[in-house]
Amino acid sequence: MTMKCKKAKNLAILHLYGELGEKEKAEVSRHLEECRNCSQDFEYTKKIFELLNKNKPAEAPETEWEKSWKKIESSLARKPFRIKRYFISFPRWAYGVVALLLVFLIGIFIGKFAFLPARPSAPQPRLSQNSFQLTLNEHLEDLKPILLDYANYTPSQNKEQKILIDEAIVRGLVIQNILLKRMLAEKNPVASELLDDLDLVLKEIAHGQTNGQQTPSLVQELIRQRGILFKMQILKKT
Amino acid sequence: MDEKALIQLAQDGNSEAFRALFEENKRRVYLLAYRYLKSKEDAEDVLQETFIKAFHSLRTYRLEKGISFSTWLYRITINASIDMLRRNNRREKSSLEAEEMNKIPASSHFSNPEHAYQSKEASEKIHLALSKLSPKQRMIFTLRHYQEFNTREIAECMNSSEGSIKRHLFRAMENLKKNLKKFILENDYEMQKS
Repeated sequence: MTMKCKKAKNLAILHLYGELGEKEKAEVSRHLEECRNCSQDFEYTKKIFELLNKNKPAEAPETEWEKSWKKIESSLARKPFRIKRYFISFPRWAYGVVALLLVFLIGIFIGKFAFLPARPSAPQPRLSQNSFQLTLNEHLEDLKPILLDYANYTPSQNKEQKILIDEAIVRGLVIQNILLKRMLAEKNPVASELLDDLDLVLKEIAHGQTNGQQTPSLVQELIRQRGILFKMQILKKT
Repeated sequence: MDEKALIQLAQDGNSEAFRALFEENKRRVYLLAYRYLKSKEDAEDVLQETFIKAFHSLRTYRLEKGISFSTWLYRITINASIDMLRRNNRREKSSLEAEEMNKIPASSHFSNPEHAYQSKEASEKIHLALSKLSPKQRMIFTLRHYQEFNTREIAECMNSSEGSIKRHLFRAMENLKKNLKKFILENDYEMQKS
């Protein structure tokens, strides 16, 4: 059985370069006699060799050796820049371990953000324009009596009087105010501004109710300064 | 003074000894670089780069390792030439410049203009086919075909196994056969009898 065609083709190249021993040469010759395809390919390879040999590159042009030497000589005095000197050298396997670790971490990072399902964000309360207005009105109605108490507050003989409100109610109003503010943050800047002011006032009231050190005149001042009652009136109309 | 003594002196920083080594080896370095890159300027750059690198890493060359100084120098030349070709390829610069192209019909047996034209066209096609080889395949082909090194010598110069060199050479030849097929068929190329 003769050799395979691929091996014969490769050996034929070495044969043309005169690198085959007698035994291999005989094997190749036998294969070429038996295999028409390989024989044709060998003839074509010979043509390529002929073409290459007839068209060898021109002899290298003369060069100015002295000029080259001068350039070399001028570089010999300078020490080459060696990056290695400035770093601690680690064994080769350490670089491999670091590379693997990096690939692993990058994999986790990509996996986390690209393949895991996104966490459902907290459902945003959605209200239509009308229902929102109604909710806002209700909220303002709830607040109105308390705010009026503070707005109409008159201290007796320069002494702070207490205004008693159920602490739980104030807390409830604070939370209600915060929720409304979140819903309104972008939609209605005017209402959002009012709710900001109310937030301040309600927290001041809640603070006073909790620790028992009430400052109704301060709350009154806040209501007046920020025009809260006026703003409430306007918003209720719209 | 023999080569061994010159190397030892050069290793101690003696530039006169290094100059003698340069004189001894400059032609073969320049010739290989030129045959590979086909550009005088690039070959001169490789010549300079090779000897500068050789000087700075001369301390790593060990006589007792059994590698001759010329083989060691060839290794540096081969690497510098391959790097140069890669840089040129990146710049998409044709290394076969007009100056060299005009010199191609130097083969004196093409005495009439028709033959000269055919020769130039063939050289262009060969250059194009060579430029399609990988830098390593092209180097192995250059060493085998133009420098007439055998595969064992090439393996030594390229610090590689003989089997690997043969595989690259076979692939290079297959690529050349493929890339020159059209030219051969079109011109019904026959062995030209000079």
